[in-house]
Amino acid sequence: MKPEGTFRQRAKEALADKELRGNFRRAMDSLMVKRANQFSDVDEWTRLRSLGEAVRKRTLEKLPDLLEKLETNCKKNGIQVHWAETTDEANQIILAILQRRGAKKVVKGKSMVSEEMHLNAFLGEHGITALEADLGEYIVQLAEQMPSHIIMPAIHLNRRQIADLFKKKIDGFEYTESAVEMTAAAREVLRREFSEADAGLSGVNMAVAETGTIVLVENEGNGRMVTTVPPVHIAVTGIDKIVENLEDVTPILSLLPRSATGQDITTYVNMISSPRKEGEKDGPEEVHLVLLDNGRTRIHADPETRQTLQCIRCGACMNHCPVYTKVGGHAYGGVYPGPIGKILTPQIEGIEPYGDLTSASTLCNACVEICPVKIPIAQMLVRLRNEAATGCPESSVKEAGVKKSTVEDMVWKGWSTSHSSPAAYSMMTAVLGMTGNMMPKSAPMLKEWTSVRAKPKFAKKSLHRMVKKLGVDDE
Amino acid sequence: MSNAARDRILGRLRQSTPGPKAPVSDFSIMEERQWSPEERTNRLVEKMGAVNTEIHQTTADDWPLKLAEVIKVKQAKNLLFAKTTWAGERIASAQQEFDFLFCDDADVNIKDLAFKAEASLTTTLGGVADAAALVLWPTPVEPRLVSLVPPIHIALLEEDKISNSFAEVIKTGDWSSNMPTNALLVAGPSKTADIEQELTYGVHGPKELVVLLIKK
Repeated sequence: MKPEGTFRQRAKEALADKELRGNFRRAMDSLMVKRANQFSDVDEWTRLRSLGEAVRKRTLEKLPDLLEKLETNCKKNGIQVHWAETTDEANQIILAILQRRGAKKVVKGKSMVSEEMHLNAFLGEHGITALEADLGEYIVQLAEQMPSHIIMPAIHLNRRQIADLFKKKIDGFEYTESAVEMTAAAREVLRREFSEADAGLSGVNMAVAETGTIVLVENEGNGRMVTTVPPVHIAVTGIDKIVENLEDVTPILSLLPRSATGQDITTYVNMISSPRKEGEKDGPEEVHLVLLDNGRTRIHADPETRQTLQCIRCGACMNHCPVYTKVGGHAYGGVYPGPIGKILTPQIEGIEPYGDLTSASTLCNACVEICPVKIPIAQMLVRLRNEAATGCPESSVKEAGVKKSTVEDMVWKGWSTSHSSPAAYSMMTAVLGMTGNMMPKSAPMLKEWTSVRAKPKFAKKSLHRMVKKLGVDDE
Repeated sequence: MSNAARDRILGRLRQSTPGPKAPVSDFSIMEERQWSPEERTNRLVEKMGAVNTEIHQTTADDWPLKLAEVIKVKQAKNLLFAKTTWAGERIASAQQEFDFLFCDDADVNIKDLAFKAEASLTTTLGGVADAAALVLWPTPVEPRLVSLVPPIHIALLEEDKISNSFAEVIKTGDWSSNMPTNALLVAGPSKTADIEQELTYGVHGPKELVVLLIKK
């Protein structure tokens, strides 16, 4: 999918939207404080985070074996496992399950992977209604928008905007800006839907290879509803969301909610290991687990880019990013916004449509410092910028080299030559000192450079020359 | 389709360039914090209370009275529970001012019953002190919907079953060779902050969580 316009255009619009700016500022400030309160014990943070990183790195190291183990154990438990290389395949798998069951209505728990798949639109085209049940996702769906944050999808809207939306879309809703009453209205609508739905769909926070268990964390109870009430439960996940052992769940269960929203733990941790067993009175008759690749094997191929897959989707990098907190999630134009989105989206969707995201960063390192599994996001941004501009032929990055520019290559080549030969260097500085200021702002390269920066002013004499004249030895 | 996809995905992953060896997973931090029984109770009470859980400290003898009192205050007309658990037997044998809905009757339609119930009662496996949550394993006798659908969920927690951490619980209970259909940690009533970050209780799950903490 290609986003509309460029990041720069979308960011400009977002920056001019005062209401949006206010909505994000308020939310991000409070999330940063809450997270900081959770990790005030530096020793605990350091050790817990190292463990989180180790668990995720070990998973990725053994990923093919663990996926096989997960499949074996899920099957043993009665969970049906499906594999999809592309989002299209995953959509077809889910459609086939639903059509076999004659399902017309699906209730959904929060799932970013299903956003990657554009599942709701796909099912809609086939006459199946997919209804989001997480309150934030429900709001975003009513507004016909995309989530603007992976944890708080409707963070870009304020209570007045949501009240207007409810008034327009929910029958019998009496206009109120009270969060309590709006939440109650959504509860009323969705309770009926849970009870009547033909199938439930959820994401996965962790899938445990050792036990064949799907772990879901949430606060609202919609995740428990969609995985318990309807007769079929379909869970979709990227192939990266695996952990080896049940014990590995424990550090992530601590790092994830504390980093995301500053809570000790989410209200619910829901561990599902099988469909309804003989004698049990509730729970789905069928549980399906759909494992989606969608570019993840390519990200996994290279040890450096592989670190992208350590992500546990806490969203802390967004909350702390000086860019994200100003422009919000929609400016990124993809499913995953913020720092993690800047490295994940171009790798999944390609450098061609999303390569410009990698430049939407000052490399300030705020995301790297708070990442609970130590993903070197800044380092990865630089890698992806290089991939975009150069693209070594054996690169595993999708569409590496598409932003290659001959002029830029020549300039860097010239720079490199002049800096490796004293004579060339001295000549270059002399020439630039005399003629550099005559270059128009619209000259190639200079145009891009000066679009957001002042034009550099060249001194008549270089520092190097002046210091030499003072008699300082330059050897 | 899926088998070929499976083989190609696994095949590609096996071709990946190896990187530096993953660091050793040092789990010591997960079980380092050990508290006395009293500290465990206090921590759980304080932290679960902070997320709007209503906690009543009671005793093995008195909890049915406390339960009746809670239901009266909340004006629930009925209570969904299992009559064949150790707890259910105690309630079912006494005259009460609310209706009994039994989730362990032979041919019960648990979905209808759960959506009709105004309050429910379940036992728990215990609790964890560090993150502060209840541990629940729903069973054929106490099905999954009982702790989820009714607007008030009342849980019985025996004080001597509060562990230090979830890591300790899965280790001592040997969970990894013994996972039930569904296992849960429950830290409070259902909540959301999706509208302007305003914390609001009672979205999809129970609006209220009441813990009857049975002291020894």
